[in-house]
Amino acid sequence: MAAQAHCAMSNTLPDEEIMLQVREGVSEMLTVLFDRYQLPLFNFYLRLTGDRVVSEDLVQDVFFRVLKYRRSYRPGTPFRAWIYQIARNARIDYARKHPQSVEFEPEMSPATTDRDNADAEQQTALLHRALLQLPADKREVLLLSRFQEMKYEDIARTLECEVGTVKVRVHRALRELRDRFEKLSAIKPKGTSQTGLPLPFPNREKGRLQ
Amino acid sequence: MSCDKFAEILSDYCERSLSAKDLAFAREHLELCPACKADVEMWQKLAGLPSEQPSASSRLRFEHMLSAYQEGRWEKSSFVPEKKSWFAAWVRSSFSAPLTQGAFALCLLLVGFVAGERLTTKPVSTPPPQLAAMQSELANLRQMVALSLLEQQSASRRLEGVSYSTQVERPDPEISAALLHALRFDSSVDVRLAALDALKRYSHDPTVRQGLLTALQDQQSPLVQIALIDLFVDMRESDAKDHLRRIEQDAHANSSVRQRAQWGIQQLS
Repeated sequence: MAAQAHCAMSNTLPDEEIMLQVREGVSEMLTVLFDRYQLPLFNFYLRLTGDRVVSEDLVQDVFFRVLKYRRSYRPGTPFRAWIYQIARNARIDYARKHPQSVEFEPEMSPATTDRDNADAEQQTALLHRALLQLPADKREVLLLSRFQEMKYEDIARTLECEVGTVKVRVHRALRELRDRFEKLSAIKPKGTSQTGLPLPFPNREKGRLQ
Repeated sequence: MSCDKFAEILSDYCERSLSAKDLAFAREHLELCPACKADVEMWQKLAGLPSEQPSASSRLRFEHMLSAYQEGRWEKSSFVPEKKSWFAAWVRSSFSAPLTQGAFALCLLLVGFVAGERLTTKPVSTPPPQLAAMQSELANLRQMVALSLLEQQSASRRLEGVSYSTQVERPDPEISAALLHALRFDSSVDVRLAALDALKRYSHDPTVRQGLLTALQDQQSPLVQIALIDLFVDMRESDAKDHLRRIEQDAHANSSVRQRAQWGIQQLS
C-alpha cells in the first residue's frame, strides 16, 4: 500500500528521475514507467510486427531487461532513447531466436474491403499494409520519429548513428511508404474479411520479424 | 538540393515547431515541389493509424515479474534468463516452462513411488488410502499444470494446456470451465478449436452443453462455428436447433456456416 502511494506521488516526476530510483533499487517505481511506456511500446511493436501476441511478449521482455540492466542506465541520458534502445535489442534478439519467422505476405495483412473505397477504414487498412511492406529498418525509423515522440537526437542515440543519417533515413522511409501506399491504392482490393470490414491485426503465434 | 533541406525539417514542419525563417522556406518549397507536398500529406496520414490497447493480462504479467524480482525469485521466474553455459541454458530453458516443471515433478513422484514399491519388504501391504492419496495428488498436479498452461500468454503454450487437459483422467469442473472460457474468448482460432475437441469428453455435463450453446452465439470464426455445429449433431443436442435457425437466417453470417447450420437442423430434426 505504501509502495502504491509512493508511486502515485511520483507520477509527476520525469522519467529520468524515476529510472534513477529504479537503478538504486526502488524497483516498485518501475510500475510508473510501465504505465507510461506500455502503450507506446506495444503500439511500436504492433506496427513493426503486425502481431499482438509477439508485441505483448516483447513489451514484457523490455521491462524485464530494464530491471536486469538497470545499472547500465547512465544518469543524465534521456530515458526514452535508452528504453527504445532496449526495445530495439529485444526485437533483434527475438528475430535471431525465431529465424523461422516468415517474410511478410500481403495475405497476412489486414484485409481490405471495396464496400466503400473512399472511407477512412479502407485508407487505414492500406496504410497498415504499406507500412508492413517496408523493410524493417525503414519501418522502425519511421515509427520512432512519427509515433514515439522522439527527437532526431534521441533517435540517433537509439540507433547509434548521426542525426543527419536519421533525417535521411526518415525521409527515404517516408517516400518509400508513400510509393507503396500509392501502388496499393491503385490496385483493386482482392480479399475482404468475413464481415466485409477490415480485419484487425491478426493474432499470429509466430510474428514476422526481419 | 532544396528537397534535401526540406527533408531535414519535414517532421518539425508537420509538428509546427519551425523557426520563422525555416517556415518561410518550407512554405515556398512546398508551393513548387509536389513530391515533398505528398510526403507531408503521407506524414499526416500516418496519424490516422489507430492506437491499439494491449490485453489486460499484460499488466498482470508485468506485476508478476516485478513481484518475483522483489521476492528474490528472479532466477526462478519464467522470464528470459541470461545464458551462461550450454548446460545452465539447457537446465533453465527446460525447467522454466510450467509443462516441464510439472512433468519433472510427476517423474519425481513416479520414481519415488516405484522405488518405494520395489524397496519395501512388504510390497502387498501398501495401505490403499496412501495409494489413493498419491493418485489424487498426481491428478491434482496434472490439473494444475493444465490450468496454468491455459492461462499463458503464448498461444502455443495454451495449446499445450488444452492438450494436457485431456490427460486429466477424472472429468474436472475447473478444467471444463477453463476450456469453455478458452473456446469463447481465446484470441487464437487454433486454441479455440483444440478447446472444443477437448470439451467433447465433457459433453454429457449439462453445464458444458449450455456453455457450448452460449459459445455458438458469440463465436465469430466460421471454422469454430462449423466445428460446434458438427459437435451438436454428434451430441444430438436438440436445444441447438433454435441457435442454428438464427444462424441460418442471418444474412450477415458466412455462407458456409449458414449451409452447415441448415444441415445441422435437418440432422437434429
